[in-house]
This record gives sequence, C-alpha cells and structure tokens, in this order.
Amino acid sequence: MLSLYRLPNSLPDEKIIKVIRRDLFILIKKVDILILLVLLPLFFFYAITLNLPDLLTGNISLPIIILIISAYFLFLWLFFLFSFIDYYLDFWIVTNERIIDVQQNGFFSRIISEQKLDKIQDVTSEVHGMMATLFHFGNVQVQTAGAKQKFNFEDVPYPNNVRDLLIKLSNNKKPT
Amino acid sequence: MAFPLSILLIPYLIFLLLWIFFSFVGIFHLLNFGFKNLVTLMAIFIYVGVALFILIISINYINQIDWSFKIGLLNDIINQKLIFN
Repeated sequence: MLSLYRLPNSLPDEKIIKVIRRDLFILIKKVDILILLVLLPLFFFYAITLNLPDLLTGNISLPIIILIISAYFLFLWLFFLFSFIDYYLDFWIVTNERIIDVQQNGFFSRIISEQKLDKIQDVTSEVHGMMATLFHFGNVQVQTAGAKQKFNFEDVPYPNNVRDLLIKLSNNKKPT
Repeated sequence: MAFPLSILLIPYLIFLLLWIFFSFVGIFHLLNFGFKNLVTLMAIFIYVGVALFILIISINYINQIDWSFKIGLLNDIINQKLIFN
C-alpha cells in the first residue's frame, strides 16, 4: 500500500501539500448508471409476472432465471468495484518539491510520472460544460520543461485553486 | 435423451470462478496501490460484504431447486414411431 508518510523517491524535507483526485461527481455518475442497472431486473420481473407467469414456476425456466439473476448482480457488483478502482487509483500528489501523477490504466498497467516544481513553465485551468461549472470541477494542464512536457489533472475539483497553488509553489522554487 | 438439470450449473460455476478471479485482482490492486488508510480498507470490506450477501442469497435460492430433474430434449423425437419402430 502507498503510505502518505513514505512517498517513493522522497526528497529531503519533502512535505505533501495536497493529494488530488478526480471530482466525486465522476464517480457518482457511474454509480447512478449502476443503480439503474440494479433496478432493471425489477422491470423484467414485473413484465414476466404480467405476461408469462408460468416462467416463474417452470421446472426448467425458474432455475435458469435464478442463475441469470445471480450472475447479473455479481457481475454488476464487480463492475462497480472496477469503476471505484478506476477512480480511486488515479491521483496526483503535490508536494513542496514536485508533482507526482499516478494513473491506473485498467489492470496490471500503472504509470507514475513526476516533475520538479522548478521545471513548471505554465499552468492552465479550464472548466467546460454545465455540470463542470455547477459542481466546480475541470482540468489543469501543466506545461513543464521535462521529458514529459504536459501533466494533465483531469476533472479535478476547483481547478482554479489547483492552478493558483501550483503557480505559487513553482514560483517559490524558482531561483530569483 | 435426458440431461439432469444440474448441467445448467456448469456455465454458472465457470462464471463464478472467473468472477472470483477478477474480484481477487481488484482487491489485489486496492491493497497494492491504494493508500494505507480507512477508505481503502472500508472499500474492500464493503465489497466483500455485499459480494457475500449476494452469494448467500443466490445459494439460498439455488438450494431450493430440484437439480436432479431430467430435461428430455429429444423425448418427443424418440417417441415418434416414424423414426423408431
């Protein structure tokens, strides 16, 4: 497990300023879809009760229905776990020395990038769309002078605040 | 030719094995790459708890079925005197 008290390759006197994840609205959107899918069997059950009630008492049809519903709910729950992992294991860590970008791309694929704060050249925040404006989330693009030239903070809460924070930390690190 | 109803359990068990494998994969990722905090542990605990709940309900309904019931797929054809004497 990753400990906030022991970052990989931590520098002397390095302190974590902020851990940023995508806005909770992104996870809630996926949960809403899952709730609809959980309720879907109820509609099918209602339709079967009205039109084909014999299916619920058949020696062959009833076991098939039970197995299908069991598999359906198990699959939905596993899908929810994957959605949560996709949200939870993507994050950005801003310390007083660097920014660390951790991206989990599916299973068994993880990309970790880091860049020193004094290499930051430009920070841009953007908010597009009605939901993003109402719920105050958006993207922050960090232009750097390193090998990886752009860091993207996607769908983060209060992107303007994140931009201000990065600019302030970057200015503190740059030689005067 | 008649098949026992329990033959329907084979694809279900194959699905269950795959489901268990991917559940372990998900929990492995949370344990290995998640932060060492309450959120990670609660997520695993809730996932396992609800998964067990679904499995217990499923087993409860599956146990009520008479799986020794025979499905006679070809009974009608076999009984036709046109094919067999």
